[in-house]
Amino acid sequence: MMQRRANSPFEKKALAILIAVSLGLVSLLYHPVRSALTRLLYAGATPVYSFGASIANASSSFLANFKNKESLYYENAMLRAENERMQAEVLDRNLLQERVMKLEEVLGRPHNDNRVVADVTISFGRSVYDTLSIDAGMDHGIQNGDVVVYAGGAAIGEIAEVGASSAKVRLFSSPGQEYAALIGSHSIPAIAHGKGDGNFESKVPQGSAIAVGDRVVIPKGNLILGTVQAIDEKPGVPLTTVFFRLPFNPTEIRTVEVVIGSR
Amino acid sequence: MVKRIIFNFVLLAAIFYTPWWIATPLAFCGAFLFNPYYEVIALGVVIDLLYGTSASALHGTAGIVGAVGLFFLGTIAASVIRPGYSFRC
Repeated sequence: MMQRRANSPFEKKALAILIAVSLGLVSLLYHPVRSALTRLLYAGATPVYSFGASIANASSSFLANFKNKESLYYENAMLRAENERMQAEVLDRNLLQERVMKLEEVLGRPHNDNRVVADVTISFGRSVYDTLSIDAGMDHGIQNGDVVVYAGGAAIGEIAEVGASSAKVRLFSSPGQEYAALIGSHSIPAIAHGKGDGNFESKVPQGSAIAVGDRVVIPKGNLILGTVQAIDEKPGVPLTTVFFRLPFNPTEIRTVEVVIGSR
Repeated sequence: MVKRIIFNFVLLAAIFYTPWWIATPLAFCGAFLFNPYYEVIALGVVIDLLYGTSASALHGTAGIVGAVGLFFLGTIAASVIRPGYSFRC
């Protein structure tokens, strides 16, 4: 019996593609191989990203030389005003935090989460995946499922893959993700469905006391998930659709905190 | 050959430094210009390893799946538009 071999150039190339795709899929779907390749790639990629960041910094400081004096003066005044306003807000926030801590102590539930601060090495928006990478990992006590927080009180995602000194964060807003959430001042329970790019959608019973601008929090740790942007209420439909999003631009996240043991 | 190597570096830099909506048309251009552009499949794997996770959409294989799609789209577009081009195929 004769075996048929791939002789024509077309058959050889088709076979090469098939082998390349199969090898790629096996390496991605088989977890130990994927982890090993990711670690290897990150070892080389980290200096590449650092180089890119330093080039970006150098070019922005070079371009700043060409800005005219008047616009710089105006920008400086604006930034000073903004800084003063934010300092006042921080004072207010510190007072509130003290009160919350006292109340928690009185109730016997002291708030003592352990957090690790990490820099973002690969920022959000580079790929179709709603992920970012940070420069802390297992060496710092981080584990899969730990909640990642931005600006102290906004929950942005959870650790999805962790290496020795790096980790990938999957945003809560990733398409297909579902999380329990409480919406508005009446803490209406709902399921937040991730829609990508920091957007969420939830369904609540019609007539629920929710307004645009209301905060959405995750029940564990009372961390902010987003603010309500729009409400779609149709007469005769028992459920109202609530659209909300992160209260900041996720591409601007440069530093995050990982809440250790929060999974 | 030199053009192809330079293009590969440009595409790799785009994957590292630019958003996906810049790298994707570049990858399509590669599949359109070079016959056949196998490198795009390897770059799809790089995207999945750099940015994806096992818990992401398509089990973190969206990069390679998209790369295979771009490979065939670019090749088909080239065979339709460019005279004398075929998958040597």
